[in-house]
Amino acid sequence: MSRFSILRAAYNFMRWEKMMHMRKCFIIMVMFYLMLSPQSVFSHPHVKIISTITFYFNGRICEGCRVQWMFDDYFSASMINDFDKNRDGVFDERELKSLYKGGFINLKNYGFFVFLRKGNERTNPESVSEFTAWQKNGKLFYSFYISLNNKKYTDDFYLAVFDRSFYCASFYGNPAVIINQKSGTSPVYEISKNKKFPVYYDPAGAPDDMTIYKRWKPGLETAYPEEIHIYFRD
Amino acid sequence: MSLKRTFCALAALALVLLFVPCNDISANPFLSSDNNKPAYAPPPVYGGRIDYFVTMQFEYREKVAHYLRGIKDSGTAGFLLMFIAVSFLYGLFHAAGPGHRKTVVFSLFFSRRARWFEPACAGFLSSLVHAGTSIAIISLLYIIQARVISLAESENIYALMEGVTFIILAVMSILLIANALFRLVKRGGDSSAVKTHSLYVMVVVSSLVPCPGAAMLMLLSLYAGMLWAGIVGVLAMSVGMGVVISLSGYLAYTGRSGLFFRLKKREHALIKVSALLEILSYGIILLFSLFMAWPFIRSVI
Repeated sequence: MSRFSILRAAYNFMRWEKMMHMRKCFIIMVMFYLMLSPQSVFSHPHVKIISTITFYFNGRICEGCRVQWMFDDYFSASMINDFDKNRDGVFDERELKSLYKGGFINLKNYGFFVFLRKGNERTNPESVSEFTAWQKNGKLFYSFYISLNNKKYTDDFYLAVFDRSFYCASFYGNPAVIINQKSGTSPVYEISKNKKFPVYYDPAGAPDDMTIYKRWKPGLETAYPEEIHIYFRD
Repeated sequence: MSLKRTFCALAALALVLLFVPCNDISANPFLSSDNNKPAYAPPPVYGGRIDYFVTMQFEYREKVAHYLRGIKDSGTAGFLLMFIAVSFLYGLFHAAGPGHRKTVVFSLFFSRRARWFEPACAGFLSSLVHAGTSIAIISLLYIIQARVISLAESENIYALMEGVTFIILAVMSILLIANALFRLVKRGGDSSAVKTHSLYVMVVVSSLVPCPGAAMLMLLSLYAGMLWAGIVGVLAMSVGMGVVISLSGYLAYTGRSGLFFRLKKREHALIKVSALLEILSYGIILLFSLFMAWPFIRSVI
């Protein structure tokens, strides 16, 4: 081996050592970011909800919508175990009442995870009706109706299913939306995250503070729920 | 403080904290509480997006349920092998998400010199304790109560134990910071006499919380009447989680080696930087623990 090649090998080795050191320093930066970034303290969603929304239209007026949720195997198994007392695979009237009281109506404190928006005004339904539940292939389904009569949800509005407590991860089903039109042209829909209208909430507030803030202020968290935009083409 | 004394002190603190009267600190938003007050959602709720890991976690969780049903219906070895494989993958994605003591393990290995195999030992110890706690609690309650506990009950146990373990971790961090400060002032930061047992005590204490993912798998297996499958699945899952937690330890281990590369000939500076890094790491664990224990503290005060 010539002296030149030994020097070259030594130089390469030193360069490699330097590169290794730089790589290690780079790794430090990356791992600091990954390990200590706020994401590491994000909460886990425990339950997966798949929603299908049926909108009931009369002309350009939306009279109401039916929300159907399909839950994941784990949450389904737990609720079925707790509420299908006779294990016959069907919720009878008594079991349904018990499920409504013990496993559904508390969601009123969370706006039933439904966010309605017309222009700048965002609201949660205060009440719902026609609650029912069933099970199929080990999955639990909920269905309930939100009346929008006299609430001026016409032409163009938004609906989102979103749990701001992040206990549930919400997804839209296939189909996500069903339009039930009594007369006239049917509206169309699009699903997207609307960065202009986030949901602000206080993660460090009192445990029962479910307030949704309209404007951001220090200490509030920001979330961008996926909204279903309902509108008419003409 | 000896290892025995440390354990006794921590056990006493845990007992005191477990019997402190507290409100519902974590509950399922679907379930009404007895006193008709709203049930509280699991804090902290610093969420904001459903990212890749959350989506993949749900995907693999569903696959685990699918193969579990397959074992029950057909009882073939193929389903069992797939069940073990997807449980392992679910463990990987589950641990890659939030929590699972990655920050604690990372900070611990950033704070001290370790041998090459120690991050793996700590990572797998942490995941085994984390998953093993789920198996122990759910199986024990199943045997004692002769019924499968509900998801809400298991979540409340999780929240309570999380609060208690993080308070203990915060107390330990304060003691270790004080110890490191003492060494820095009195002995120039020399840590040669420091024993490594506090590292493993911290790993065990921080992991003594039933893993929610493992608990859900155990519950699903019990609902299907297959306790053994739940235990097998949770153990496979804990191996997957151990890989990720070990990786966080190895990242810190490699990073620390990189940081000390230039200082290796300046021993005095190396000792000082090492001591400061130790204080910084325990400081991070202290803040992290207080942050995570806050819902529990809030429910008590």
